[in-house]
Amino acid sequence: MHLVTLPFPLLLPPSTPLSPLHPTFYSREHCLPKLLPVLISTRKKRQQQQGPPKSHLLVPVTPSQLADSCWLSVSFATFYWMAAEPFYTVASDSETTGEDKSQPSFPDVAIGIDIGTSKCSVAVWNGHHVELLKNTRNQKGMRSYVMFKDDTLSAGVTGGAAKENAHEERDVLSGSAIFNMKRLIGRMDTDEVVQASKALPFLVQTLGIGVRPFIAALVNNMWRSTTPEEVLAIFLLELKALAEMHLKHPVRNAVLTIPVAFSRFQQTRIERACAMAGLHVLRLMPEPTAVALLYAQHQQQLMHDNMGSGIEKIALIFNMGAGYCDAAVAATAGGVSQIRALSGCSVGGEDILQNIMRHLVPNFDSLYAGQTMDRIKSMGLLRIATQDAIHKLASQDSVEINVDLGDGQKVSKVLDHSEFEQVNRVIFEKVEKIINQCLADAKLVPEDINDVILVGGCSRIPRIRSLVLGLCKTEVSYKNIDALEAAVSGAALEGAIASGVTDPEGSLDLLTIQATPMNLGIRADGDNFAAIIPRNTTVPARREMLFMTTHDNQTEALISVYEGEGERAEENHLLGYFKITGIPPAPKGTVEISVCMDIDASNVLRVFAGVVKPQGQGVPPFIEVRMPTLDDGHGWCGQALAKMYGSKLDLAVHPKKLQP
Amino acid sequence: MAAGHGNVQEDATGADLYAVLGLKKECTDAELRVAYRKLAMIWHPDRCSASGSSVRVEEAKERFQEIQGAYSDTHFLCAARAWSLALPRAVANVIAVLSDSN
Repeated sequence: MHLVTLPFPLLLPPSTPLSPLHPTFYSREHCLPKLLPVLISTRKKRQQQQGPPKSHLLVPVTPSQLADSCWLSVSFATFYWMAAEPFYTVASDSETTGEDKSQPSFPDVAIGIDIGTSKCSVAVWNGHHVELLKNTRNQKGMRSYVMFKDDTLSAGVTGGAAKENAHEERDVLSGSAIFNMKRLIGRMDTDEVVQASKALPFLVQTLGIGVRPFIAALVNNMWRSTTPEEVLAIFLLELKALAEMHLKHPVRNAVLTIPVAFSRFQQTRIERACAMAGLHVLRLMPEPTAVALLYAQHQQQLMHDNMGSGIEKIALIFNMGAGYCDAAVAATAGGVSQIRALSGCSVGGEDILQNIMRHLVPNFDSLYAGQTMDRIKSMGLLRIATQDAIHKLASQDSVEINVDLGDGQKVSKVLDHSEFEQVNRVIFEKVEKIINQCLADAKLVPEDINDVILVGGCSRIPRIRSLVLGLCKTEVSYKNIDALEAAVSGAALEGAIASGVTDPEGSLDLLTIQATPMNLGIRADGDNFAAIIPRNTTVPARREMLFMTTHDNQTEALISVYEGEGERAEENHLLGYFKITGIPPAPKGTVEISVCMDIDASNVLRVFAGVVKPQGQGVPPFIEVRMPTLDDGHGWCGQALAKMYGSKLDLAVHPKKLQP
Repeated sequence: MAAGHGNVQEDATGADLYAVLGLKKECTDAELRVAYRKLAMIWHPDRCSASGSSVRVEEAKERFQEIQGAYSDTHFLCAARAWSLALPRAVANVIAVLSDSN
């Protein structure tokens, strides 16, 4: 059994070695002996008392075992199965599950989590308003990393917990910590974001064949392998423990914010990491839509009679953090926020940082090729100095950078705004493209925008602010929102609403009507991409499209489902594929095949496909497939299919329009 | 958005679409928006999920999609109507301006 149940209060003060917040909790040799007596003693106690059991908290054995690859290989299947289940049931104490549900021991309000590339925060609806939770160091925004040291693991939530072993930024950059998980999760080794991650202090190894990159942290002068999912799971486990310590009850459900640019495959990786940490994902919300929900609440409180007047306020939300950049246009009235358009890309502060580092040290790539201890240390120093300089440039005209990188390498330079902007020109161009696309998709002109909301760490950069405001033809941004807390607050609001919490004062009478950020469709007409659900379609959605066979007597057809913006199928993300078999033999073009895509309110995508003409007994039944079906190594699936089948199983778009 | 507009050709009056939103054909754009938001608050699956019954969520989903479809189509009709009213006036204005300048 890979799961143990712990009797509800697991949440001991951080000073006790049994608390998940205690630094020794994760040490491998200590944890099992510690946990076992607790388990045994509580079971005995329960048998004696014969009373109703306490609520249960489901915990993967320990994070240190989580990181044990041998254990993982066995238990991934278990977790994956769990991810598909709507709620967790207690794995070993089956006699108590029925009673547990009937016992309203705690209100099961989903928490809101914003896992940022660089920082992470957690918030919850406390019955009156959204409250951001602080860690033991009194921080609301906690650095996203996991430190691997000897046999102990600790995440940035506690930051090493006790003062004497507190992690400093240079420890995080020593190669022993894994960070930027959000940039690496669910990406293949051919991805340019993964390639750029090779300039990070820990090991990112790629083979360039479309499989998961190999990542590893430095422990005792050895690279120890891990995966982004594992690292995220360990981090989420600490975050969950933090929330449970504050709330004094187990936490099961969570709403997480994700970048607009996240593919559905990446979303499944986040869900898997959550399942590993014992969290059930109620919703994955694109970050700007979480901000839109918070804005809708503000507007509702400002004018109570909004619904009656029909006055809509149009907001453009721009969010740029360390890893991603997103924009959304939302039309808000009466607490209802309708997402009109979404756009995003994987460009963020990390790219700005790397551009500046390469600018300061022109021979960056040759200097830091091959990660020796000296080079990791030197690169860490450069990173800290550069980061510091970028932060200072937000409020200063120019900044002086003086850093000794060791081995005779010194950087001494004055960086001003114009130079900073020149170095990052490509990034600003991408930001401009995102905003323009979002406005065009929403069929709006800048004059239609009532409020421009700037959030995320990079929204502090003066050039970014002036660029976005300029494109929206306005002077000032919306003031009543905290740039770093907006997304997590919106997620906590959504968590409360989705958990069925109501507020007598009506401050939870809110609704976000989501839209799809990317086209969803199948490969057809050769290598083309036929979009069945176009991007920015309101969710829940159901769309159908007719296709026809391309060969005489074609008895099988391949349905390859893609997501993305490219006109050719291969430019998009492959989500999965399946065959329609047993098609009655007929001349090409005469068999009609319907492909229907359905996205429900929980954003689950299902594809239904089958023969609609000819009809009758000889026609095979329809197939329903939940997407994505692909697991790791999907980069080469498309090519493998093309090599194996060529155009033998192809379909073409039917010219006849389907009746809506 | 795109697929929904197919309705317009078949049902030139769009009366059924307005009925879905509980409105008459002569309603204003603002009334349309208010009706859509009120119905969305009631029928969007997110607002219904509290009850926990999957049958209701399924029903809510269908109802919401019907409302959404009707809203995007009537919104389009409304815009088209506003255009058809505005256009002759605009032409008249242009003619008036031209004849004035002569």
